[in-house]
Amino acid sequence: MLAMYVDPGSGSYYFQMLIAGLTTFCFFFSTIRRKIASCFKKSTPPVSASKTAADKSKVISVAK
Amino acid sequence: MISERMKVSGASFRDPSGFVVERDGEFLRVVQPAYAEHYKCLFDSGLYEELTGRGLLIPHEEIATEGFDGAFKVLRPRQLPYVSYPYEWCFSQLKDAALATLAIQKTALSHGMMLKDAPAFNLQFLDGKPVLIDTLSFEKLRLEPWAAYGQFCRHFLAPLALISLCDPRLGRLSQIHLDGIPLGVATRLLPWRGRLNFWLLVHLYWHAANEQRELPPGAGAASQAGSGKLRLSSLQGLVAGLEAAVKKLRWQPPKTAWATYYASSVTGGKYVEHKQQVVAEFLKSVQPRSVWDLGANTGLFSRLAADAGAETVSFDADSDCVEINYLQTRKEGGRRLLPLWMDLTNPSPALGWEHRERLSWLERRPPDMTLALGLVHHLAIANNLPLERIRDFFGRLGPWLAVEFVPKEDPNARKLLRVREDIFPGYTRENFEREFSRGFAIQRSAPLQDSPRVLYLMRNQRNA
Repeated sequence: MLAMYVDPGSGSYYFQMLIAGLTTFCFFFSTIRRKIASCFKKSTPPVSASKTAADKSKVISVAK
Repeated sequence: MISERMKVSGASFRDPSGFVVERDGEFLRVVQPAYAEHYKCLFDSGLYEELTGRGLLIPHEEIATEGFDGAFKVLRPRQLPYVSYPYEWCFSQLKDAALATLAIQKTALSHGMMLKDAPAFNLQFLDGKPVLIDTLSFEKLRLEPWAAYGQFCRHFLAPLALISLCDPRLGRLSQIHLDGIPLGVATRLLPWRGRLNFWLLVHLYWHAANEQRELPPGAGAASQAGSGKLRLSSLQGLVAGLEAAVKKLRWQPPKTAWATYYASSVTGGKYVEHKQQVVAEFLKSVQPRSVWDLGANTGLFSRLAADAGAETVSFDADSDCVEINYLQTRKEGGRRLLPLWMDLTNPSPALGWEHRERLSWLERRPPDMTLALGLVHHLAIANNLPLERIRDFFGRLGPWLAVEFVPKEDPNARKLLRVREDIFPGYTRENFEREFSRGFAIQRSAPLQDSPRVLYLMRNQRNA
């Protein structure tokens, strides 16, 4: 009978407070892991200004 | 008050923020003044722009509020070609919808907002991808436990874990439990190895063990602010943990007979090629805007309809086929094709309060054209359905029907009769044509090459 008065949301609400430390740790761990992973990822070479200008002129000449 | 021209959606009564109405065949969302502050924040924070730009939230336009007394805003969202429900989705559809929900919550948190609820019913498939349709699901961020956490676990995590670790057919449990599978039920059904997945251990097993706890006095959303404070990083970590749990769950469909049907020798020769050609011709002559492919298998013919420009829904009773079809559709990207899991002999019923929250299959808008290819012999022989009842069933659908008659001498029909007594003396091509002529006008018939089967194009007299 008591269960009829327990909102299914209340247990989930309480449980989140219990695992708050774990979820905070999870957030910082995933952030650090993402940052480390990004250090090892190959960065795409920046497009040089001269090349961009050359490409632009090519587009313009084609458009003509 | 709204005018008599409009009908309030049967599923739209829980949220005081607003409701959905149908007016002249269009669905509109009415925003109540109580939600004004959150609605403004959705735009001011840039959240609406980001989510609609990423295809995670349905876009809308604001229309005049005349005729909607007391409304703060009236929204006209992009209209959905077809409404489906989570218990009709395959594993990967549910998983994609779960990940979309978490991506939305993550983005909302970074914009100072949060999802106030997370039922799987709030997502629909549009252009092949899950999209949140409830624009009023957002609230200004409160640093307290996420109110939708339990709902997310019941609607997404529990069915995904059950499909992944037990059986794909357990996805149907969501049809019985409209507010999600109770975590206690899920953990009792899951095998012991479910505990070896750390995030399942936390979000299903430990969560289930605490589900019946009562809140300590003074805690809870309805109590005074500050009683149950959480850090933002804790809320973000909760989403990251749920994401890890969902991503780790996988399910590979086995190679069932249906999933490899078109590769089998029984349907070899030029049969499939010729059938594709005839179906394409039928589609070209009818030019339907919407098509239902019943018994679609992995969607070979549904793709012809989608390519012809029709919003296409593929229905099949085999969850493996639906999974294969969906994965293929996702790979192809943005097709107008929605694969759904549906047993035509026991289709989705009307559910919820007054049977009006979730529509039955036949209550949804019928298509312009129905494809029933390689289906009639299953209904007539495997399910003992008389031809006239099959005809009446198709008669309740759209104006056009492309139907294939598979006679008893067909190798696949013989397989069906191998294990049952032939109590179907009336199952002949002549009787089929006679019965269907009583509700349809047969426009074309095409015997298929390398096969005794015949394909018909029929016009429904009921819609003529």
